[in-house]
Amino acid sequence: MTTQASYLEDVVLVDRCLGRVSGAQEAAARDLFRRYRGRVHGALYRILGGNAEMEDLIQDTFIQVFASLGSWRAEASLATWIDRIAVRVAYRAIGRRRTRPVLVGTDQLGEGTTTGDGVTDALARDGIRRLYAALDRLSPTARIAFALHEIDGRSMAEVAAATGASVTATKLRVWRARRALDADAARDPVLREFLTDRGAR
Amino acid sequence: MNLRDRVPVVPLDSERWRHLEQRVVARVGEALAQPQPRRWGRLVAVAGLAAAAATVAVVASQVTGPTPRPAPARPLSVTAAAAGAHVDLGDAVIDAPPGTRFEVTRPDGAIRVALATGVVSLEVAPRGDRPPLWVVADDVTVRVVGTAFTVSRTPAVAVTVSHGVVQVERGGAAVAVRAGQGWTTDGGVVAMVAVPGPVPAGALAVVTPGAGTTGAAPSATDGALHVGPAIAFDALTARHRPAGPGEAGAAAAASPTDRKRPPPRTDQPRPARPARPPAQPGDDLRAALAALPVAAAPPAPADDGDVIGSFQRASVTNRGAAAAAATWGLARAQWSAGRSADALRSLDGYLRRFPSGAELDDVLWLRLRLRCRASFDDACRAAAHTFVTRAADGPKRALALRVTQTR
Repeated sequence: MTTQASYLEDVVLVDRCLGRVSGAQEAAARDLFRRYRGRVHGALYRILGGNAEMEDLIQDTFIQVFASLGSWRAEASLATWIDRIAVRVAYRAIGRRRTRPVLVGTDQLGEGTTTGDGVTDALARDGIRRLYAALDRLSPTARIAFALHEIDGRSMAEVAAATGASVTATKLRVWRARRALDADAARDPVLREFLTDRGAR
Repeated sequence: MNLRDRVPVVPLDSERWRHLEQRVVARVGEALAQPQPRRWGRLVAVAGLAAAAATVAVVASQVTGPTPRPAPARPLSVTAAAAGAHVDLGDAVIDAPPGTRFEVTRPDGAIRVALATGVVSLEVAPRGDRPPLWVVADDVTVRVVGTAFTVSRTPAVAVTVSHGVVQVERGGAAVAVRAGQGWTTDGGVVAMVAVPGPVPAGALAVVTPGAGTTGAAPSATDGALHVGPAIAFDALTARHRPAGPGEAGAAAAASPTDRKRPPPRTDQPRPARPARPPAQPGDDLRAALAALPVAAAPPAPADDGDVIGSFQRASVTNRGAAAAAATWGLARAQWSAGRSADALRSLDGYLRRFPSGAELDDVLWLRLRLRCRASFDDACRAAAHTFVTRAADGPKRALALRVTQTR
């Protein structure tokens, strides 16, 4: 979808948003929002672990995208550029949650986990809750790198581009996160079950 | 460990997306109207912190003295490499050919470009209420209002203005230099006219004021243009030099005093000249532009009859040089198919994506042709200016220089 988006279409879309070519700016902004909302939502969800405050975070991301759209120089893809902004928004959200925790109910963590088997679903939801509880104890940078690479399935290079770090630093962050999660899993059988292949459905 | 499938993203329902879209779109106008972040932001912030720290230190020690001035932002020193230099300051863009050295500072929010050697070409958005932009070369200061212009120091200082107006200050005197004019340390303000016919690369003819006068424009009385000796002015090296053979002939055609000289004797009888229709302004330049061909497109990536589509797909799916070639092919094919607006968009896309692509000169030339196809307006001159600053030397570049001087 968005990862295969035409570069030239992005250029034209940005130019339309900035009023450089004919076409209503509002319609162009709507097109840009629809084109990238799924990608932004996916990244924020995988980093934060649920849809709590999600609408505000997506809105913040896109407002920042439009506010700085003129500085996009098309040297990086628009998707990567938007990723960076989404990561910054997520970073700030993690910081806020440390000082002002967000109440996350069972309908928000692992809410999409359903197989039809009640026991398996409950275990999976519990595993997700424990995974994100463990991620809460990591540094924000390690958490973001781990979530984007291990959970969202992005390459190290993509994660590095989205976080503005080098690939080496990104690998180090992911490795540190893995090590911390392994330590947690050694003490927590549910988390261990979830993280191992046996927990895969 | 692969957690992607085990942590599914729970989608937002359509109603939530609809509300969210409305909220975002409602604030787009406000967001787009915000001033664009500048790359200097971090430097200015550091400078601000340093200034604050200095102020605190002064207050803490209760030292009386002059009010500390804000620390200037860290200067940006640029030495143009083999590919030249391109510096985007947000509201001003600086291009420089290889070997040029300059330094950019932001005193009190203004932009100051100190040219040590070489040539800088600037495109500056109208300053309005913003702090000024200066270019300083030796003892010459160029103050910018909003324009495109070139300053060279090799070592004589010269200023050429493509459009807009700049104020040149030297030795306490100031003079305005407008589009179509130039200024040199030894000649003052000069008016530049295009040389008819073929010209050597990078050269322009300059009509100089009389000896010992500065700031004088050529005067036209009794229908004749009285000018001084014809010399060539290389805008890139800022050097006057005697006109070459071709240029001398061209200048002779323009100069009534030179016309009084007897024509060179030849043994062959002179052929009768065919009657010409009255020339329109810019006709010769248009003809010259059309005479220099646009480069051919690369072979289409697929032989399926859809040339434009195959180039478009290749430009997206490929990377690097292959993508650059496909984007150029796309623009070329769109132009051949009469889709000029699409071709322009593709060309602009190429310049954004491959600023140093192998097809850069071809792209810039087609872009110039398309921008100038209707008239020599600001967009045309801007495209010509971009060609002059970024393309390699040659006859196309000399023509582009002439286009920048059209009024």
